[in-house]
Amino acid sequence: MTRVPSVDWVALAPVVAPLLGVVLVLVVDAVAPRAARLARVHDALAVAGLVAAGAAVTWLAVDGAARSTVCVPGGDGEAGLVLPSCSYVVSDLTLTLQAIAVVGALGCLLLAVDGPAAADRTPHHVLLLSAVAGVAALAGARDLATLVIALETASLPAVGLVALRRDAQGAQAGITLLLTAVASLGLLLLGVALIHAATGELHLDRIATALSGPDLSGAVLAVAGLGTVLGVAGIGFKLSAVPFHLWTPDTYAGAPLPIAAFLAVVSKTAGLAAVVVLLALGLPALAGSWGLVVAVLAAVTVTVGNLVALRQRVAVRLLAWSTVAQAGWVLLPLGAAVDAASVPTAVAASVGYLVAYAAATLAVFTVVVLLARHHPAGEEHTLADYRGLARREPVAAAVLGFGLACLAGLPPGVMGLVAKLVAVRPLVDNGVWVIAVIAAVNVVLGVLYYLRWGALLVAAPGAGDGAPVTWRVRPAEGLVLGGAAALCVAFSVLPQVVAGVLPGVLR
Amino acid sequence: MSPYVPILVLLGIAFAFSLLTVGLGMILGPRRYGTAKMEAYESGIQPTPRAVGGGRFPVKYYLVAMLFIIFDIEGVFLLPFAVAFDSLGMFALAEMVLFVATVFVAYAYVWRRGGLEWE
Amino acid sequence: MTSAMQLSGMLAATDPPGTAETALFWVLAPVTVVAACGLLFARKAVHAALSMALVMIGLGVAYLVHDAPFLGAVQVFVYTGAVMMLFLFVVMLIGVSAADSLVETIKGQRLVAVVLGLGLVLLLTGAISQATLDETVGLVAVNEDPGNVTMIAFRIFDDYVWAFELTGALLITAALGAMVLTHRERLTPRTTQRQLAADRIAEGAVKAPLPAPGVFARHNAVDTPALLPDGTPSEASVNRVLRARGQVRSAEETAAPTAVIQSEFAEPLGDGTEEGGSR
Repeated sequence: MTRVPSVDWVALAPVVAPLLGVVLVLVVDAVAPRAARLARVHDALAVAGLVAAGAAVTWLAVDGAARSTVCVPGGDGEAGLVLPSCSYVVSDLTLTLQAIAVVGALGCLLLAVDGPAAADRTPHHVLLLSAVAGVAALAGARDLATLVIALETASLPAVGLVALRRDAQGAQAGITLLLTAVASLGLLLLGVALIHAATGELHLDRIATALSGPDLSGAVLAVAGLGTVLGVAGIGFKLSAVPFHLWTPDTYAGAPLPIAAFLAVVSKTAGLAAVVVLLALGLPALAGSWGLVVAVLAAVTVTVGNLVALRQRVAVRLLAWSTVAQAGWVLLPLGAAVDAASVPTAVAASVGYLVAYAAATLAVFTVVVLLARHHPAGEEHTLADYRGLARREPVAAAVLGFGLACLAGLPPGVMGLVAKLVAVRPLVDNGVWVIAVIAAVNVVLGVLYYLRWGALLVAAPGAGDGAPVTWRVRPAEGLVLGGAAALCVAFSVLPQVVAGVLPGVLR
Repeated sequence: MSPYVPILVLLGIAFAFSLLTVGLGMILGPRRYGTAKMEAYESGIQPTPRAVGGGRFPVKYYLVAMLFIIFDIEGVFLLPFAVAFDSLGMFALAEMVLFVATVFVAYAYVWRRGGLEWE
Repeated sequence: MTSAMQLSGMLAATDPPGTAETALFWVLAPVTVVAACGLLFARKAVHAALSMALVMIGLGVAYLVHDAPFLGAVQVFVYTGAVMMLFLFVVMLIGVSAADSLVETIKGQRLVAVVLGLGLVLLLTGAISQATLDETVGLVAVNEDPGNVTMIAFRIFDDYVWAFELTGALLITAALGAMVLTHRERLTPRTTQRQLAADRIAEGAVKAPLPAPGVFARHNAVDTPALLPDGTPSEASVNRVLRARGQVRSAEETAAPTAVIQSEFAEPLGDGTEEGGSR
C-alpha cells in the first residue's frame, strides 16, 4: 500500500543546511545556556549554515541538472495520462530566489552579529536561519501545502526578530507585524482553499492543467478566480503592497536596523517567490484576470510609496516607504501578463528587478546601520545627518550614493536603470500603456527623493553639527559594505545578469 | 460508529453523575441563610468588587499557551501516524522521529532558558 | 482534498442515516445551537469562550458519528484545544471580568454591522437553498478499505512528507518567537528571603510588630484600626493597601450591623423559609 518517497537530499540542501544550522545552534544552547564564551560558536554555526546553503545553491546551479523530489506518481487518470508531480523542484527560478535570500540574510546576519543580536544570539540566529530556510523552501515549493507552510516559515520569524529590540517600540512593531501576518495568513489560506476546491488538486502543475482544460464551467473559474484574488491579497501583506502596507513604516522604525534590512531584502524575496510560484506556476491559465489585478496593485503601490517617501525626513522611514514603492516595481512586470504565454517573460523581469533591488537595498542599509551606530540620534537619525558625509567618510558615502543611484535608476547605477527598463518592457510589449505611463511618472518621483538624499552627501557640512565622530567599522560590517558595493558594481558592469537572470522556461 | 459507543457511554455516565451530585445536593442539603453567613470570615478582608488588574493574566501565560499549541499540532500528526503505523513502514518512523526531535530541540531551548519557570 | 470530501460526504450521506445517528443528532444539535447562541449573546467574554468550546465539541462528535473520525479528532484537538487556548489568552489579555462595551467606537458601526449581517444571512440562505448535492465520489471507497485516518496517514507521510517536515521548522519558530515576545531572562540571581530580611533590617524601618488592628472588632478585623490608649484609631495598624483603597472601617461602623445579626440569631432558623437572607 505504501511507497517510500524518494528524497533527493542534494536538491533539498539549500533548505536543509540552514535548518541544520538552527538545530545545531539550539543544541549548543541547550547544552550550555548563557555561556558567553560560546557566542562565537553560535555565530560560526549560523554563518556556516548560510554559507553551506549558498554553496549548495552554487553547486546546483553549476551542475545544472533538472532535479525534482518528493513526487507523487502519475498514472492513468480519468482524463488520460497523469504525469508525476513533485513538491519540490530545482529550477533557475528556485536557485535565483534562494541565492538572493541567502546572500541577503548573510549580509543582515553579519550586520547584526555584534549589534542588536549580541544580547540574544540564539533566538536571533535561529529565527534568521529559519526564515532563510522558509524562503528557500518557498522558492522550490510546487504544491499548495508546501507553499503555505514555507511562506509562514519565511515570514513568521520576522515577528520575533523585530521584537528583539526589547523596548516598547520594538514590542509594538512586533505585535503589529504579528497581527498583520495572522490576518494575511487567513486570507492566503482562504484563497488557497478555494483554488483547491475549484480544481481538486494540490500540486501546482496539476492545478494549471485542470484550469487550462477546454470545457471549464463558469463556477469553477469563478471560485478559482476568487481564490486567486484572496491569495494575492494574503501575499500582498508580505510584500507590503498597497493597501496591505500599513504595517511597514512602524515595523521598520521599531525594528533593529539590520532586521529592517532583513525585512526589506529577505521578506520581500519571500513575498515575490510566493506570488511567482502561485500565479505563474499554478495559475498561468488565469493570467488574463490576475494580470490586471496585479497591475493595478503594483501601480497603486509604486505611486503611494513614492509620494509618501517624498515627505519623509527620518532615514529609516524613508527607506520603509521606498521599499513599498520598490515592491510595486517588483510586481509591475507581472501585471503585464495577459495570457499564459506572456507569463515567463514577466516573471524573468520581476526576478531580475528583485536581484537589483536586493543588492542596492543591502548597500544602502549597511551605510544607514553604520551611521546610526555613530550618531547620537541612533536609529531615529534624519536625512540632514547625512550632510557632508562624503568629506568625513568618503567610502561609505560613495557606497550609499551608488546604492541610491541604483534604487533610483540613474547613471552610474546602471543596474537599477536596466532593471527598471526590464520591468517596464513587458508592459510596453503587451500594450498595458496606462500602467507603463504611471511607471514612467514614478521613475521621476523616485529620482526626486533619492537624489535629494544623495545631494546631501556632498553638501558642505552645516554650522550646527558637532565634532564628527570617526567611524569604527567592524570587520563584519566592512565585509558587508564591500560585498554589497561589489555586487552593485558587478551588476552595473554586467547588467545583462539583471536583464536575463532567467531563461524563459518556468518550472 | 461502533468504536465510539464506549466513549459515548462514558460521556453519558459522566454527564449523569455530575447532574446527579449537584441535584442531590440541592434537594437533600439543608439551606440556611443569614447575614452572618454572607459575611467574610472573622479576619478575612472585605471582598473587593474586582482585582486590581481587572482579572488580567500575566503575558507569561502566552508562552505556556504557545507550547501547548505546538504539542497539540504534534499530536494531530501523531494520531494518523499511530493509527496507520503498522502499514506505514520504517521510512515513516524515521520521518516522525525527525519531526519529534526537531520540536523537542525547541522545547529544550525553552526549558533551559527558564521559560517554564514561573516566578 | 480528503477533508473536503468528508465534508461533502457528511452533507450528502450516501446511505440513509441509522437510528443511532438520528438520535444522536437530535441530542447534539440543540445543545450545539444553544451553545452557539450563547457564544453570540453572552455578555461576558469567558461565558462566550466556554460556549464556543461546547460548539466545537458538539461539531467534533457530529463528525465522528458521520464517519469522519480524523476530522472529528482534529476538531477536538485543534479547535477545542488550541484555538480555545488562544481565545482564552485573548480573554485574559482583556481581563476575565471585562464585559462587552456598549459604546460605539466607530459612528454608525452597529447599523452597518446589522445591515451586513442581514446581507450575509440572505446570501447564505440563497446559496444553501440553491445548492444541489450530488452523490459523493469515492468517499465510501476511502472509508472502507484501510479507513479514513490511515488514508490521511498515507497522504501526510508519503505524498506530503516535505510539507510535514517543514512544519517542524515552523513549530521551532513558533516556540522561539513566543520566547522572544514574552520571556525576559533573569540576569541577576533571584533575591532570597534571607536577603530580603537583611535588607529590611539595613533599611532601618519599624522592626517591632505594628500595633495590632481591631481589638474590639467582631469580624473583618484587618480593616478595622486599633484604638490607641487615648481612644483614637491608629492608621499604622491597618494594611497600607487597604488604606490606599479607602477600605478602613471605623469601630463604630462595624458595631452597627451587630444588632441585626443578634436579632437573627434570636429567631429560630431551621425552617429554611428565609432563603437568601434579609439582605
